[in-house]
Amino acid sequence: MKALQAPHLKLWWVLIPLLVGTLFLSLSVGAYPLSLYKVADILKRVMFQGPQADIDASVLLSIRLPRVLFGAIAGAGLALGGVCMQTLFRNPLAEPGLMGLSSGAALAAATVSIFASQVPSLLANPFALPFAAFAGGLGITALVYRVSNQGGQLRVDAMLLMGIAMNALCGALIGLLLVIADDAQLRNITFWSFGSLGRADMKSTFVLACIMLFPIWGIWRQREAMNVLLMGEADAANMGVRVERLKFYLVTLSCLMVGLVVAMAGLIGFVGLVIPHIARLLFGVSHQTLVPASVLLGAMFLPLMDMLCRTAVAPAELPIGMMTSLMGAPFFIFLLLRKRAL
Amino acid sequence: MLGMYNRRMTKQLQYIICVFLSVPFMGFSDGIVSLGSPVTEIIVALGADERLAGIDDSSAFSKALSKLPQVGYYRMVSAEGVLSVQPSLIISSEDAGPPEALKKIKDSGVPVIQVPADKSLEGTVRRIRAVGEALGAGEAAEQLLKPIEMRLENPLKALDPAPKVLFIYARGGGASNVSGNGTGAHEMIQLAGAKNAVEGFRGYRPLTPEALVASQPDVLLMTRQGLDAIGGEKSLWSLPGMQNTPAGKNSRIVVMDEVLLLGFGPRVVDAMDQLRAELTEE
Repeated sequence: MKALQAPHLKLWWVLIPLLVGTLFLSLSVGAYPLSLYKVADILKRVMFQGPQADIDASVLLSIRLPRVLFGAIAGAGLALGGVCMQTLFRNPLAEPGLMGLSSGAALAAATVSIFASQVPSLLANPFALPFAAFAGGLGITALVYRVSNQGGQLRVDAMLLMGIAMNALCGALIGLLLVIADDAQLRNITFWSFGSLGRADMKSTFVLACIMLFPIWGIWRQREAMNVLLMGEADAANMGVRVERLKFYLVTLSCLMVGLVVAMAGLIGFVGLVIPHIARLLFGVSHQTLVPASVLLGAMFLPLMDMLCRTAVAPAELPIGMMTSLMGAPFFIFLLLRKRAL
Repeated sequence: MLGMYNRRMTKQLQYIICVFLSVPFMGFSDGIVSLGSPVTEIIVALGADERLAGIDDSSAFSKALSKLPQVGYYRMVSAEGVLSVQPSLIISSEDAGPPEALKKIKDSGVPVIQVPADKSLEGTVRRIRAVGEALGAGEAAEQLLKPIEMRLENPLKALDPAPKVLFIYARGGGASNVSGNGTGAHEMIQLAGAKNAVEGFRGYRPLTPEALVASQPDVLLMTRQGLDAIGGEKSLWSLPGMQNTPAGKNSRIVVMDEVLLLGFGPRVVDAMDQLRAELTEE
């Protein structure tokens, strides 16, 4: 039971300084030149002299800082969402997209993008699309959950199949919408389906941070039950874990986290798959370490990827979802190959 | 709030000093970032291309321009990318975006002037006037406007019989579109006195063999870039269904420069005249 003790000391000692370093580095790297020294200087001046008026401070505080913080929180949420799904399915290749969350959100976003032009008040409302995406993702996931919940028992295999069917259906409907979309709508949908942290501002970052705290805290509290669940549902039930309640928890909380990020920043793939794996490789499978390690690594990974997006083709920018998949997909293939070798 | 107000004032003061003295001041250069090729074309026509510090991807239509930093496609620029070329002024087409990025640029204190984006003669007049005003080159702008205003007073008469013109917008990879109502090509075809072969829908639709035959165009209209993208005239005439149209049988095609044809810029009258001349020649 040693694994169930407090997280490895080395986890905190290694990851927290790394996270702080990554965030500072992300703050100083981008199309607009800001050295680390300048970043520190501006932060110092803001702290001691109040709001700063020069353009450097404006770029740092109203463009880059929200982006980096939003990326860190979103990365943590996406990674932890992946942990929940992998524990729920007891399969290391699971991720929230499996239950139709991403495709449901994408379908809702595409629908709003296209039909908003009929309803001018919708078009003008900046919350319409994020809200629709959130509702769409949650709606499809709830449907998948409801259908696979038979006689008060959640059948994980049925959920997987139902998720695949829903993904196919949503994909087809999105294809249909793309045919009738005009140029600007098409661009809007593609923009959204590859994700971007560029729209983050302090307000949205604050909202994301406030909401995200609850699921992270909730999952941390379930860490020991999740460890037991890995042994199998029957064994877990014998050991006193309320399995059905735990499964409901995991689905709801991971959907809340991932749905929120998808709604605010678009589809960002592969974070939920890759980060928990790295965390397991580095710190072991116990949720005692897996949960904090995934949160911290996710919070490092996404700002780092966003930094690449900002600089690769500067002063233009790449979509973040493309970058995470570009880096994540080869890793996924590596995992598959390694699995076959074992 | 007072801080905000002061910040705006300081920025404006800096900007005014920059523009009038053309001296870099406190890290500011007299650099303009132009978003949207119609805007850039007007800036160049007004002789202010020396003042450009950056352009969007669609604006790189000449060798000199393509040497400037390009901040991405004008509909999806990043705030930081635009600010990284240290502009003192952004002149942007109204349809540039995303709005969040433009808002952040404005918030950082760099003025953003948005000019009308509509693809019509009237739109061109308003666009040129707005860019001229932004550059402090109202006189030069009025000079550019003269032929356009004359054309507005005496529009080209509709051809009789009006040839049915099909504009094909090709970007390579086998995907071609035809343009319906509300597009620049539709407007240009009508301004030249001809008739758009495909009407009754807004925006662009994919080109299909059946729709091609059904539209029975007399003449095809393409941009030079588009014709190159589908592999030249030979592969155009061998598109499925093409030989069942009058245009295909008579191999009638008008090829024009993309910026000239679709830009609705300072040369819009030339574009109309060129298209008209090519349509009427036998």
